[in-house]
Amino acid sequence: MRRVVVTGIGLIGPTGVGLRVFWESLLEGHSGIGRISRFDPSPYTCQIGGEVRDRSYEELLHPRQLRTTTHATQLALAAAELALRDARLSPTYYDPALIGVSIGTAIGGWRDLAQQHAILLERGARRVNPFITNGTPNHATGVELAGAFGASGGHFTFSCGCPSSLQAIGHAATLVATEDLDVCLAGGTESPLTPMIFAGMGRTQELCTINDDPEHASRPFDRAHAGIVLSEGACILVLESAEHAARRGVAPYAEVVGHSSSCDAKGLYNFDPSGGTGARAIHRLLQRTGVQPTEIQYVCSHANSSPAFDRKETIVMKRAFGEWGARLPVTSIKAVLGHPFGASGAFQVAATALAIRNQIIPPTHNLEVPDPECDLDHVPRVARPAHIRNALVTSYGYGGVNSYLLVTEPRCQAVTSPSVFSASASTNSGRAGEGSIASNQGRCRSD
Amino acid sequence: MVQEAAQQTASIEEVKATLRRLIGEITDLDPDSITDSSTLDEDIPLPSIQFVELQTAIEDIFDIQLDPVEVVERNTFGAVAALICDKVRAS
Repeated sequence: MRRVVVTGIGLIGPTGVGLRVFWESLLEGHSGIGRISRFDPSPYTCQIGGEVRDRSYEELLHPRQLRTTTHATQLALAAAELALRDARLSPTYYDPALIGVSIGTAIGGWRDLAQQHAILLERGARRVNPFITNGTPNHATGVELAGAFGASGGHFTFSCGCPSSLQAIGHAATLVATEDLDVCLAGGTESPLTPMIFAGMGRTQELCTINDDPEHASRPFDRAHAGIVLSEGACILVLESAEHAARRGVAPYAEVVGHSSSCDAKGLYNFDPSGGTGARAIHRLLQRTGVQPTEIQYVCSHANSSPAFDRKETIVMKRAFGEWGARLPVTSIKAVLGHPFGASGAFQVAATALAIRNQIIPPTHNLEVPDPECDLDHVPRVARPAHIRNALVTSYGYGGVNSYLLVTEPRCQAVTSPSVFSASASTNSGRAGEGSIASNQGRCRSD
Repeated sequence: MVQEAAQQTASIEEVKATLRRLIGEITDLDPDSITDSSTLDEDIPLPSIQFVELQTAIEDIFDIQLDPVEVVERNTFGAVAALICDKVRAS
């Protein structure tokens, strides 16, 4: 089993295009949330969201891609291009048969489908974009990426609600670890800012209605958390075997060492109230990787400002980590980012990789008075320097899907080792700061 | 799926320029190699899905409806451009 590292990150979201603005926004609390401008939001209870306002990413796309692919796919194509550039990986370097694509999205091309449906009703069938039928399904994004970057090693689409991209990254890491692939483009994309979503989720009262103060509307773990603030974006990672990265002389951001998941099995709208189902998946992951609970220094959590999900996070963390849970920093980036559904896990992995690279925990912004049921160390408002060797990324979804990814400091030696994707243990005691990796520690790689 | 801004009026030269650009984007052909006498069946071969993309883009940009049979019957680049121009004027 091979070690798997993150060597490139491409990111387009409500905070902007690229890593630098993303990281600065997470540290400083520059919110990407505003009043919806894409459509008139006044008929809806929620009128705010995280729109991608910087459309410079379109310059990375061919006119044909703009005409024939959905918004979600366009975001992913551009993010993948940024990721490959960040990884300094070009098609001339990789073997097409050994690069794959693993993408998560909850709703894929819904937004474009809704737009084309409106055109159908208003202007007739002859004016419908003929590419909508094949472009809308969730797998369309992955196959477009495979085509654009010549990735013939395999294509996988995960669609299981909010954890979709975390599941996709976990699967991609497994494929690289097991030598099926040398490289995998893995991540998620989402474009949910469409009237139908706002109508439906508005009626179920899942969306935040703090419309007069968008920047402070998403409040994970706060007593005033009042619902999800939706956002759009894509985040694609270049996952690569450590040997492949070392041969290219590229310093990884972080290492992906294991993934696990479980399902509460309570239907679409209910959770396991004990948190035991999620905790068991975390225990399985830690046992498999040989990491002790007390060796986790940071949790980049799913918490999305919905009271139900924020409290679930707390319950699962307490159940999984026991007394250590009270000392474990458990934060959320969604006060700034909003909640891009199935893409959110990939954004969290990006934030975690940058936290490890910079040895700083990005805080939970807008957390002023904690919900009494969210009483862990949620690092309110101010970034915190920390020695992060092992970090856990969590993601939860409707339907009770629990997904966890263990991300660590990159170890500098590009050698095979007992992998976390096998049953054998890895101590993860390797320390960065040695060899070629040392020169990149403590710095955020620019876009 | 981004729809290009519609052109309400268009001279024959503007139509040809737009058509050349679109063909260049959709195929590997050099737009400058396309002349009025270039034929759709031999000089500008378009697989059906690319033909549909071209047709859709033309309809969006010029806000017209284009019958594929009419286009195939015209066959040459110059004649197709003239057909589009006529439809724009008639609309």
